[in-house]
Amino acid sequence: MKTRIKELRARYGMTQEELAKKVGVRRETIVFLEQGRYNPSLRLAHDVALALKSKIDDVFSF
Amino acid sequence: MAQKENGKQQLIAVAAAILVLLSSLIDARLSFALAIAGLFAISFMMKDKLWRQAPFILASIMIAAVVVVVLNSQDGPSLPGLAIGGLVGAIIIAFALYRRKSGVVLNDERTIAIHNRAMAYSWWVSYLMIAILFWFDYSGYMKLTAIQFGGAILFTMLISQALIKRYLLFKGDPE
Repeated sequence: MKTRIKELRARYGMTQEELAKKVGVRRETIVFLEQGRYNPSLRLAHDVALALKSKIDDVFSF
Repeated sequence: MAQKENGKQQLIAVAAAILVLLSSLIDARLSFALAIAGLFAISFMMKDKLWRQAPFILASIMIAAVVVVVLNSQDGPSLPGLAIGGLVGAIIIAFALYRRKSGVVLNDERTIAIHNRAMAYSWWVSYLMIAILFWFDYSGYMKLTAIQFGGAILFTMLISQALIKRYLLFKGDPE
C-alpha cells in the first residue's frame, strides 16, 4: 500500500502528533501508515483523508 | 513520545511478571497477591468499554477465590508479604490510572487489534505449556502441585502476551 500522507501533511504544515490527535490515534499508527506498513480500516482512512482535506483515493493507493 | 510510553508499559509488564515469578520463590501468597494486582492493573489499562474489562475482572475474581482457598489451607497469611503485594499493586494501579487520565491516546484500532492477537497467541502458548506440564507430570518425570501448575500457566500467559504484543507493535500491522 502506498500513501501520500507525508506529502499532504507537509503541505498543511502538520506534524505526525497533530495528525494523530486530529484522527484520534497513536502517533506510531501514523508512522506505520506513512510507511505503508499498516492497512487502516475504512473509518480511519476516511478520517485521515478528511484531516488532510483530500479524498481517500488521493491519500491511499494499492 | 507515544512509542516511548508504550515501551515503558511493556517493560513494566515484563518487570512485574518477573517480580511475581521471583516472589513465588519467597512466598507463594506474596506471588499470588502480586499476580492479582497485575491483573487488576491490566483491566484498568484496557479500553473504556466495560465488556472488554469483563474477562480480566472475572479472571481476577477467580484467582482471588483460589488465593482465599490457599490462605485458608495454610497456617495463616504472611502479613508482611501481603502488605508488600498490596503496596506494589496500589502503585501499579495508580500508575495505570495516571496514564489514563493524562489524555494520551493509549489505544486505537491498531493497538486493539494487536492486543487481541497477542491474547490469542498467548492462549496458544499457554495451551502448549499445559500440554507439556501435563505430560511431564503424567510420565512421572516431574511432579507438580496444583499451585505450581496454575502459577506456571499464569506466568506463561502474562509473559508471552507481553512479548508477543511488543513484537507485533514493532512489526506495525498485526495481520
